[in-house]
Amino acid sequence: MAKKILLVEDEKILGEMYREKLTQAGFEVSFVFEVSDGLEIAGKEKPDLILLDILLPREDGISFLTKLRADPETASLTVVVFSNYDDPETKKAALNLGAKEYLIKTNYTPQQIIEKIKNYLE
Amino acid sequence: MSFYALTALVNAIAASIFGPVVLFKNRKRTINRIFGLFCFLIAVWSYSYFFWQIATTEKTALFWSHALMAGAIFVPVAYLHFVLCLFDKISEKKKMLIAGYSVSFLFFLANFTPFFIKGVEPKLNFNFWPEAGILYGPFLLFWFFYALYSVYLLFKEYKTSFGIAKNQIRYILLGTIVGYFGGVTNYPLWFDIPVAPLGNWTFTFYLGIITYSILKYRLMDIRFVLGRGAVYVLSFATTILFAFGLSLLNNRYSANLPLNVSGSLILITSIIFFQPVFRLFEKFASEYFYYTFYSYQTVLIDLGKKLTQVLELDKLSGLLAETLMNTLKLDRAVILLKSADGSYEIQKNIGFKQENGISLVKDSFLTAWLEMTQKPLVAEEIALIIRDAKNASGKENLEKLRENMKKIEAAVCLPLLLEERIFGMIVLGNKISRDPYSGEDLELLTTLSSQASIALQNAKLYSETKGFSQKLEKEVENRTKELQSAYEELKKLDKAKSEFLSIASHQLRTPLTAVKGYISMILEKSYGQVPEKIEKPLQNVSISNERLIKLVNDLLSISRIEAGRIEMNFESQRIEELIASVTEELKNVAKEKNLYLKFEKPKLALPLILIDKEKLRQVILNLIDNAIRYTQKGGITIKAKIEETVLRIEVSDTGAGMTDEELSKMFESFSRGTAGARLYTEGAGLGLYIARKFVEMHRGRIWAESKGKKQGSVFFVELPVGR
Repeated sequence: MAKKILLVEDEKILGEMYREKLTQAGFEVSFVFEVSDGLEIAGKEKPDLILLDILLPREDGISFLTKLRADPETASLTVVVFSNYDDPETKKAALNLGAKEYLIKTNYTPQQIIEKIKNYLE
Repeated sequence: MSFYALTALVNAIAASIFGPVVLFKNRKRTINRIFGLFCFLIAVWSYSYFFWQIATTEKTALFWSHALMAGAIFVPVAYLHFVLCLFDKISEKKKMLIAGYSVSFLFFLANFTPFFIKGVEPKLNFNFWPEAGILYGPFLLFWFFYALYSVYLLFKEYKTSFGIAKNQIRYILLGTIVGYFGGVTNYPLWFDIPVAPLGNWTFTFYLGIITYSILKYRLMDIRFVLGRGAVYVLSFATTILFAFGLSLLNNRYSANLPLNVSGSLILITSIIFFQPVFRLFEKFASEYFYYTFYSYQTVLIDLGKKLTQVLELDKLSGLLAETLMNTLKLDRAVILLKSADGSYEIQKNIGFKQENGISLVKDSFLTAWLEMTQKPLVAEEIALIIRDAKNASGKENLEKLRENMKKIEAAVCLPLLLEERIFGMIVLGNKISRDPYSGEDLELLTTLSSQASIALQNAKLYSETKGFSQKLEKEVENRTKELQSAYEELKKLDKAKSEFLSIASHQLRTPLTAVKGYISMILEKSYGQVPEKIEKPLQNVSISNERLIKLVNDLLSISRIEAGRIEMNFESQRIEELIASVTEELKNVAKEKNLYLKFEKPKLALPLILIDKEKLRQVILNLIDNAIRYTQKGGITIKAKIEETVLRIEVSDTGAGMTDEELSKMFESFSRGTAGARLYTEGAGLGLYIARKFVEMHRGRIWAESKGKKQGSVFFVELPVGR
């Protein structure tokens, strides 16, 4: 059975790129632009992994993580943060909220990211 | 010798002592000279009186009668002269004085004729009392007129004066009236009125008072004078009574003792007796007359001691002013200290009305005067000083000063001096009792003011120093606040800058990520086969894109290093894996330049090491990337091994090599090898600097070695193991 991945990414081009790559790699991808939509799908679909961007419209990724962890339904979901926003404090906050990793998108090709997340999809 | 002869002798002796004493005290002073003249006249009168009394023939009696009148004639006019001088009114009544002296002189001439004294004849108990001549009546009128006029002047001054002056005039007036009344008892017998000259002796009292007032310029504390006098008189009287009693006893019971033996015994006993009697009376007198004098002296001495123990200016001024007020029983006291602008600021004021101008004191005639005389200025004395002043402007200034002191109701100005320069003053009001300040008071105040000067000066310096240090503290505090807020501002700016950099790099990275991602996907054939001739250009785009990504990363790192905002996240890692992944990443770049890139893994696995993976990755990436850039032929070899306590990574290349000069600058910010400048112009020179910084943050060491140009280079990184 295909693993479900929730992709929260507001950059349309990047989001489509990742969705394409992930779909090709055999994942079932839900792609949303906003925190609220992401939380809704997370609650409904309970994805196997969430790929979360940080700088998002209205609410940011940290807010997403906080709310996700606050809801017992979604509290234990696996999250990998990937963002080009490289801020030490944000990174620390994300890791404290249980993100598995804080990847800088630009340092990885989509293929490399898939290899990374595979570690968390056993 | 009769009682009258004795009193005359006493008067004579008193006059011949007081006169010269006063005269020689200050011969240049008019009032002293006039008093000298007055005493001389009294002496002439009294000595003649004495010889007249003891005269045995009518002829000598008549001669001494003329002689005594020669003195007496001038007495009232000389006394008026004295009184006018006392109130500084000589010039005002000049005509009257000249007339008086002229008429007196005419009577003086007439005195030697029978028109003045007809002769002498027995009257009452006197053998040779003079008989008034025809001119004697007019003379008496003249005499009384001048005598009464002096008394009138005194009385008038007494009425209009107040305070100390009033007290002083009261004493002079009393002395004058007593003296004249006594003197006048001489006259009735001249006209056959049977009244004995019983008051004759009072002249001594009269002279005494005036002498005292002149010598001290002020009538002083009359209680003290009277007290002292009374002690002596009573002691003498008691001793004489005692001796008299002894001789009486001697006469009655031991008449056989010869006078020379009994007399000596009585004398010795009396001398021994005098001392305890004197002390006894003195004790009484202390209690009733000048007891307070001693007690406040003690208080003032104590105050002097206390002054040296207080350092606070306010406290010290308060202590000084209050003690002076309470001890001397004054109505007011103020302490003024000179400030930098020459005005005198009130340090402590009790009782002075500020609206009267005490707060307006500044450097002036007064302060100059105090500095010149170096002693207290007594308001009541100013009149005397004016009288003696040589020039008109001095007189005028003193006159103004007197008015001012009167206006502010000040009795004494006590200068506070330091090395003879005035730096303040204590101004005292009158005694509540209206008693004048005594000489002892003033001496004491002078002593005290010199002690107070030192204490106040110290306190002033202390308070200035304290004020200065407080000001300094305040200043430091303000500056610190300014720095604090500047720092806060900078911190905000710094945060903004750092946020800006994070955002800016995010914005740059987004398209770079898209390029990187899509090209990688194309090359991975996500979109189907890639024509061979397209593959190469795509590789080049990818390489260029990687360079841009690295540049953004470096810039972000640099800005964080410079801002000191780098945080280390140490994890246990296997260094081989990290090196392998970086090598893999750069494989294409090397391949593109036809260079080999090999990582010679150690045969035995290296121990786990605590590193910040991201940062060390950047270090290795930079070193290898650098090596690729500066190498045109051959390739790059990477080794990793344990050397005792350190893990060493070596990146050696077959490239351009470096001179010693380049080696020394290699790891500085924005420096590039000269070879690089020529061969590879895109480099920003950031890589090695960042590498150095990151290695240092691992407490490691980074350096490079080269045998020289075209000899290739080796870059070393050493990291401590087992930490």
